[in-house]
This record gives sequence, structure tokens and C-alpha cells, in this order.
Amino acid sequence: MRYFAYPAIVYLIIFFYLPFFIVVLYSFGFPNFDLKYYFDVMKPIYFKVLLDSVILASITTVLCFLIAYPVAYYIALRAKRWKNFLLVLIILPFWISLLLRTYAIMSILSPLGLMFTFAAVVIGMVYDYLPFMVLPIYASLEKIKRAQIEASFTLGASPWRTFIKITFPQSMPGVVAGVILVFIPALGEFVVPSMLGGTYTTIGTITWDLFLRYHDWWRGSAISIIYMTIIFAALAVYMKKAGRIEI
Amino acid sequence: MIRIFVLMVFLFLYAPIAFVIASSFLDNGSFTLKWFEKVFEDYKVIRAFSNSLILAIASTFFSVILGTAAAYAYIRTKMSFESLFYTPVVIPEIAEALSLLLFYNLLSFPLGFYSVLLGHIAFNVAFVFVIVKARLAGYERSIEEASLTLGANEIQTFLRVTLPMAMPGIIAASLIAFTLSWDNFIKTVFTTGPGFQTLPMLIWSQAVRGVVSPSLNALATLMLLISITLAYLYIRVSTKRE
Amino acid sequence: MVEFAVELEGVSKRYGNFDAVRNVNLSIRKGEFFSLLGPSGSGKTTILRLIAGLIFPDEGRIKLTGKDCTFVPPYKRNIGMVFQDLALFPHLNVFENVAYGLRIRKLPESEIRKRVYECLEIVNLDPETFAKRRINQLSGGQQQRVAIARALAIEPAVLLLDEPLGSLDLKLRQHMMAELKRIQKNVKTTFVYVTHDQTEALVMSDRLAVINRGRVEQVGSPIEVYERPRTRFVAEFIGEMNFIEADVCEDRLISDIGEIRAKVEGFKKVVLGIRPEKVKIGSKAENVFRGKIEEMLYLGGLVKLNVNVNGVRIKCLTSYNGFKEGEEVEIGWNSEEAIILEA
Repeated sequence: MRYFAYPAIVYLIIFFYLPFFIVVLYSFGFPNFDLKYYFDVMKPIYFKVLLDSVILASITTVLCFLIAYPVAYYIALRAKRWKNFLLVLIILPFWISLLLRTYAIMSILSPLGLMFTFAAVVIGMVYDYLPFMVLPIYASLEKIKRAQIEASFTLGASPWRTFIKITFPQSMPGVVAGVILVFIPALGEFVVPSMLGGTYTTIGTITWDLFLRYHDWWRGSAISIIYMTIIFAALAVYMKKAGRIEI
Repeated sequence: MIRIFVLMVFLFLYAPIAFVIASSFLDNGSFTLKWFEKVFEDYKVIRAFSNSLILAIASTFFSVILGTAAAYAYIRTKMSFESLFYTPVVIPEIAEALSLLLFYNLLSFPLGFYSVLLGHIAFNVAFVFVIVKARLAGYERSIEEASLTLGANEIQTFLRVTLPMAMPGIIAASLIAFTLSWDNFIKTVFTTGPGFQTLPMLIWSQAVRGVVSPSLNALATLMLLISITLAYLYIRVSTKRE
Repeated sequence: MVEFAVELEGVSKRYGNFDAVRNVNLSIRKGEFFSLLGPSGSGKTTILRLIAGLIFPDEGRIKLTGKDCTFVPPYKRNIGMVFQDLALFPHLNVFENVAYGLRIRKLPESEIRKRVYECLEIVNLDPETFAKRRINQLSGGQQQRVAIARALAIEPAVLLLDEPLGSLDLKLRQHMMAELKRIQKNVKTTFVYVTHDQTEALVMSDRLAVINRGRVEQVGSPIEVYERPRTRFVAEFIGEMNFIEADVCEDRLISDIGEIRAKVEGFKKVVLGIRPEKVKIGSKAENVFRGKIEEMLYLGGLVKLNVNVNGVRIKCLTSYNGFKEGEEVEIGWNSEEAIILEA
């Protein structure tokens, strides 16, 4: 029975893990061995790109959180008749490709003349990533039994206090999951900055350029490895705190 | 209060989409279907459409077979290889895309339909595994044991009991795998070669410089329609009670 | 003529360091209702699954109707099984669930219909009403019956039941106990029934085995096991028991409550067991002791008294006769009513 899994595992090793290994090799200067690409990539020009990406991803994450939390809260704990309908509306964007959604927001920004500004990029990022933040928060809020909130009221706590002490802490796993689901992909986002930001450079756009325009496998790999190291570090911190990743 | 906020958020989410759909039917204020005509007459669109379709079907087919088998093996033997399948889901797409490009480049593997397909299958296998595993986990082992005690051997049990029960999960996973391939842009564009273009690539190439055109709106509307249909099918399948 | 439906000889099963089943010997007679009774984790379900062929033993042999079946897979054994969570096939309706085993055996359609209808009637489900229903449309009790019908349909030599009544409410459970007994008498199949509930075991079984930590503590009829438990575990697990430790001194026992008349051979220290319902109030018994009623629980007609005799608490179950807490009473029993157990 266990051999049922072997084809899939072998396939992943060949077409997923092996390619990654190759990226690592290239980052170290394959076919030679050289650390210079890493040093190159730490130079100010590249570093600025890294920083800009982190800033953009952070702003996106924070804005998504601020907007998503009330929405998730409403759907989980307030909406009675509309709950299922709203859930469907939140899930629907997942089925529409990022490209199409970005195009849609572009079609609004363009006539408004807001294209090619930092604001446009941020709006586009938030627009695309919002559902990723709403769903996990919704899921963890959903698990809170109404009886707990009622108990808190009978014990004398006001609605606000109940929220701070009871509801919000229990929604933390969802918040953390949402942050991860937004921040990590947002770091490497290519479509939004290039379609809406014109010359705005991020890890995503620079990777694109290095690989598809300049065929610079080595610097491209080095940047990618750095990018992934950041991701794994963040994930490791998360795993320590939370235990397991909920999908 | 919060209701108004939520309403605004949903307006924010759907107004652009509504706008695109609406504009694809308008020409200087009057209703028209000519943008759709232009889309259907465009040879490049037809070709990209069939490319996308074949790619999605092929990638779904293989990834569902591989992924379902792996999920079944995991559920029944509890071997701990599942983290192998989680990584592709967590890794950002662009990292996967460039790694495949380097891989093909190193092996001098020709870039085109097959290079794209192989990359899609890798990604989809992981997703199918996760989804089917979650669905299968809900079913107790005892149902298969009951079949064994009633006289059916392992193969008969698999065909008569396990597979039918897993079917909704398999269909759900297929819809997701199909959509992931159908909508995919980054991985496709990194691993494709001259002559092979998918619909997302086509849209991208025309929209990249901030160009919003009515025929592009029409194409987008058609794709939105397909996405919504797939989403609808998925919701039907995943809420169906046996 | 084969007398035994199931025989276990020296059967052991280990999981890593844990001995789930240790050197178990059992002989279950054809046509009897046999229970495996024990606490959670005692190994009783493991024994059942070994009989079913879902797992294989590390040591020993298993015979079904005289034939060695130790390593035979479940679909080649002539057994039927009712699982704890019922394990009905959700994608098939009632008829198809019951017919499942018959279809595997490729019986003709008319035969199948006949058998399925028969079995549904045996479990008291009207075939016309229930045949086409889906599983999730049935109540807990109805699902129970379908599970039983499905296992009986293949006419197994032995029917194995794994705590089937656990999820039912009290009234339904009582009803189903009577039903199961009736069904078993009707079809005359050997039933092997696993439970942790002594009421179920005592009420339904012809014989039962008390299992503890992978070992068989005692095998016997309900009356034997209740009235004459052979180990402290059995005495304690089934019903309530007073335990009094004592030293043996010729033909008497010296204990904290005083001297007790009892005949014991071969031991220096023993534990005397006496059931609360055998402890009588009054001085008319062979062994009489004075004590004070510490606690009284009125059960309606009957009372449960906790009597303190020299610091030892003796539980007594008797008819209410105006007792009060704090009252001094005499309690006693005759020596043949007590059970002597190893210390």
C-alpha cells in the first residue's frame, strides 16, 4: 500500500526538490565555486530592492489585517442570514486568477489616472491579497463558541472587554496564518508591481529581469536563496510558536 | 456601523470586476457584443485558449492520479512523508518557477508545452495530496475493515468502497488543480518556449503597459465566467452530502 | 461434530513494548452468546480483531470451527463483524449495504433479495419501508440494526460485535440488549460480544470471559463469575464487593473487624470478599460484628449502608427498615456466602 505514494514522491523529488538544489548550486557559482554572487547581491542597489519589497509586503499585510479582521468578525459572529452568501463572496476571488483581479483594479485605476504610483501598487496588492487574510481569521473566529462570549457577559465584562480578552486572543492562530499567507507571497509578488507600478522594483520584478531578460542565473539564484532564507526563518519562528501549519 | 464597513469592503472587492464586465458590453455608451466578436475572431486568442485547456486537462489528470494515490497511502499507512508535499504549497510561485527554468536549462530540455506541463504537475500534485488527504481523513478505517469481513478482498474493497467514498474529494481536488493550471501565469511564463502561449500570458502581454482595452475586457469577462463556473461546481461538490 | 466455534491457543499480540494480549486461551462453543468483558485497554477488542483476521497474533493459534485460521485474511474467514462505529457504507442505501457481502459472493439476484429481506425482518426493520433509505436518514438504533443485518446476511459461523451499544442512550440500549438476545436465539449463530459494561455482559451472555491487561482472568457463566469470582480483579470489576484482609489461623481468619469463621487451606494471608447484598443486618448469621452506620443512601425500598466496624468500612445492601445514620447495628454473614481470594 505504501508504494502508492512512491510515484508522487519521486515526481516531486525530480521536478521540485532537485531544481531547488540546482538553484542553490547556481547561487554558489556553479559550475565553479564562487561566493561573489552573494556579495554582489548584498550591494546597496540590490539591498534597496530587498528593503522595498519588505516594506511593500509589510504595508500590504498590515492594511489587509486592518480591513480583513472586521470583515471576518462580522461574517463569523454577526451575519446570520447572509453568512453563507458572504462566505461564498469571500471565497470566489480565490477562483479568479491574480492576473485577472489585478487587471480589474487596473481598469479602475487607469481612468482615474492613478497608475504607476506607489499608491497604485499598494491598492493592487491589498485588493489581490485581502481574501487570503479574511479566510484564516474567519476560520479561527468560527471556532469560538458563542457560549464563551455569553459567559463573559454574565461575569460582568463589557462587549469591548470581552473582545479584547476572549475573542481576539483566540483568533490569534488565524491572524498569524493570515499574516503568513499574505506576507510571504507578497514579498515575491511580480504581477502587481509590474502591471501597476511601472518601474517599481521588488524581489519579484528583479528576479524576472535577472532570469528572463538577462539570463543571469547566478545573481538571480543568489537573490532567490536569500529570499527563501527569509521565508524559512519566518516560518521556523511561526512553527515554534504555533506547532503546526493549518492549511 | 461594522455593517457599513463590511459593505464597503465587498463593494471594493467587486466593483472593479463588475466594471470590467460592464465595459465589455459597452461601446461609447451603447450595448454591443462586438468586443466579444473581436475576441472570438482573434486567432491568437483561440490558440491560447486551446493551449490553456489542454494544459489544464493534462496537468489535472496526472496530478490527481499521483496525488490521490499518495494521499491514500498516507491515510492507510501513516508514514510521515506528508511534509514533502507541504513545501510546494508554501513556497512562493516565483521561486518554483525559476528553479524549474534552471533545471530545464541545465538539462537542455526544450522549452514549450511539455516543460510547462511538467512544472504544473509538480505543483498540482502537492495541492491534490493535501485536499484529498483532508477528505479521506474523515472516513474511518472501520468501513474498509467491514468490507473485508464481508468477504471482499483489498482490491474489491478499494473499488467498491474506498474510491466511491473518496470521489467528492477527488472531484474537488480536480477542480482546484484545473483552476490552478488554467489561471497560472508566473510558472508558465518562466518555463515556456517560443510558440506556446496560454491565455494568462496573452492577457499579460496586452495589459502589461497599463493598457486597458475593451477587447481585453471582453476576454477578461469570458475568463471570469469560466472561473465562476468552476467555483460554482466546486461549491456544489464540496457541500454535497452522501 | 465440531463443538467449538472459536478456539484461541496461547495467543499473544505485542505492539512495540506493549503486550496487548498475553497467552490467551479461549474456547467458545457453537451457538453460544459469549462476551469478552473488561475495562478500556484490557485487550478485549484486540482479541476480537484477532478472531476477525484484521490483525494476526505474534504467538499462538486461532481456530474457527476446528480449522486453523491463524493467518487467514478476514475475507476468507466465515465471520461477520459489527463495528463500534457501525461502519455502514454511506454511499449505498440500506438494501445495498445488507446485500454487499452477498454481491461479493455473486449470489443470484433473487437469492440476494430474499436474504436481504429476511435479515431486515430478523432485526425488526420493515424491508418495504427501509430498503431504499439512505444511511444518513436513519436513527442511531436503526443504523445499529442495519449493521447487524449486514453482518448476518452472509450467514457467518461467528458474529463478532465490538461494543455496538456504546453510543446509544440508556433506554435504547436496554431495548437493544433484549433485541440482540432474541436475534441470537433466532439465528443460532455464535455471538462474540465485546463490552466494558458488565450489565450487558451479565444480561445477554451464556458465558463470558473477564479480560484484564491482556490476560483472561476468568471464564464462566454470568452466575459463576458473579457468585464465585476467582481473582480480586473479577470480584471488584463485576458488581460491588467488600474486601477484608485477614491472616489465616487454623480454621479462622483474624482481621481488623474481628474473627471470621472460614476454611482456608494453603495460605497465610488472604482477602475475604463479601457482596453488600449478602451482608445482613441482625445477629442471626454465623459471623456477626458490631458497627456504626456512617452513611445511608436511600435507594427507594432498598438502602445502601456504610457501616464502620472497628475502622473498616463494610458496604451493606438491604431493605430499608428505619435505619438512621449514627445508629449502632449488628451485621453478619454465613461463611459459605463469602469468597476467599489471594492476598
